[in-house]
Amino acid sequence: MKFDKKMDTMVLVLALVFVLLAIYMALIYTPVVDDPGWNAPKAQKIFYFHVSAAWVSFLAFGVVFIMSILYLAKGLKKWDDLAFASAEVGVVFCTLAIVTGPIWGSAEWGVYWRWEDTKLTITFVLWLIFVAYLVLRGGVESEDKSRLAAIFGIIGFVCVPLSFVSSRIWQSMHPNVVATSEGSMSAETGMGLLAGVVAFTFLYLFILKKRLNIIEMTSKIEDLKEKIGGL
Amino acid sequence: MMGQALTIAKKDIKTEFRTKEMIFSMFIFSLFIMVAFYFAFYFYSIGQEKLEPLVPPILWITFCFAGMFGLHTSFSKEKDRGSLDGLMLCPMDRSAIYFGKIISNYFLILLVDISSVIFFTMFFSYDYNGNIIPVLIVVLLGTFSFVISGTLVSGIAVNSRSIRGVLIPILLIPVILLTVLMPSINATSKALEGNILDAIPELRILGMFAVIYIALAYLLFDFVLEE
Repeated sequence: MKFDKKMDTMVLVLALVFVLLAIYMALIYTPVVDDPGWNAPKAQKIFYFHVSAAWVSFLAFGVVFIMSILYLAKGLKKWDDLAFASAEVGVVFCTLAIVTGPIWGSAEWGVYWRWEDTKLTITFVLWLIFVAYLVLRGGVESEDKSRLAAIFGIIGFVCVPLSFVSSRIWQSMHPNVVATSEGSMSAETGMGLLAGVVAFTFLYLFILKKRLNIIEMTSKIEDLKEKIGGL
Repeated sequence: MMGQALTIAKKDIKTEFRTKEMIFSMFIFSLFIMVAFYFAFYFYSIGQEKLEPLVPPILWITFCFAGMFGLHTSFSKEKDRGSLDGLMLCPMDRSAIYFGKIISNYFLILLVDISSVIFFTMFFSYDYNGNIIPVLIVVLLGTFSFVISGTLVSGIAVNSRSIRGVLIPILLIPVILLTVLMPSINATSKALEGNILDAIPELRILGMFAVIYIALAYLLFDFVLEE
């Protein structure tokens, strides 16, 4: 228990340090892009938070997928709690990614949303799937909800990466930053992105742990209520 | 297992045609959607040329909503009558129930889809230029993928008492949006242009997802019906 508390503090401190570092790196350290191809070079700064949020949401949904498989295989409640907490946190970060995307899009493209953009659309569909996952958890009253949510978590997560295959029909407008044949981002930009990704990952771990604690406390209260013959 | 699945499908189709409750409501529902579409485009004074790009979305939105209506009753009927427990007590693999439901749902939804195509042709007096066969091939394949994913999701949604009706669209639409609906709509528009061979990439995607959903359902359906 004590070790647990220490870990919590550690993750919190790391998250705080890296978030501050990421803000400094993104706003001050990294240069403004000077490629004439960009319409709004300054708006590009949002990239460090946008990509980090998107990364964390994919990570969180991946955790839901793995925990769902573990829950179906072993039936332990802790896997289910972890899947639930991760889905909730993932939806929050995914919302951040889909909100920051259009903010940049309006400056760069002049429009908020482009359906032709594969990454944007698939991320949006992923968001819809996990919102549906949370609705399912709220909508099923009985004990079955953990099992059913685990099944849906698996179906939902499997169909999304595969959607990239079907998206080959489209033309993607999304900037490809990490790996292109035309050259990749500069070292400073890479460092800024790395700081953002690390900061958001620690933030995710911290929020996940807090959410998990709340879920555990809720079920403890339910148990206590049952013991004293309450509702 | 296939024999058991066929028995369940036969039972479903037989009970459906005794009451004709679901299939009749699905016909009426698809008819209403077509009428709604007609009036939505009424002032747009739509001709053959303007109509052309709208045909695939009109058809697939109708199929999708009428189909979800049918999927909804497929498991909820069994649950409400208490016959689902009886099915689960049968000495057979649980997946046989799923495959049986797929066959019966496919049959019933396909009937409604074909009638929707007829309603559409009547209301919009649309001329297919002899491309009706390619369109029907796409409908056959797209509906198959739709039914496979839809039956699995409706098995999940039937467990909710309070929001059962809305849970199927909420769960199903995001899952099929990119995997079934978009390739089907693309393939239909290519089929309307006359060359079904152009639509092969889309048909391949539909086939791929049909296989993936069958595999997922085979693995996971035992958990859907666990008590």
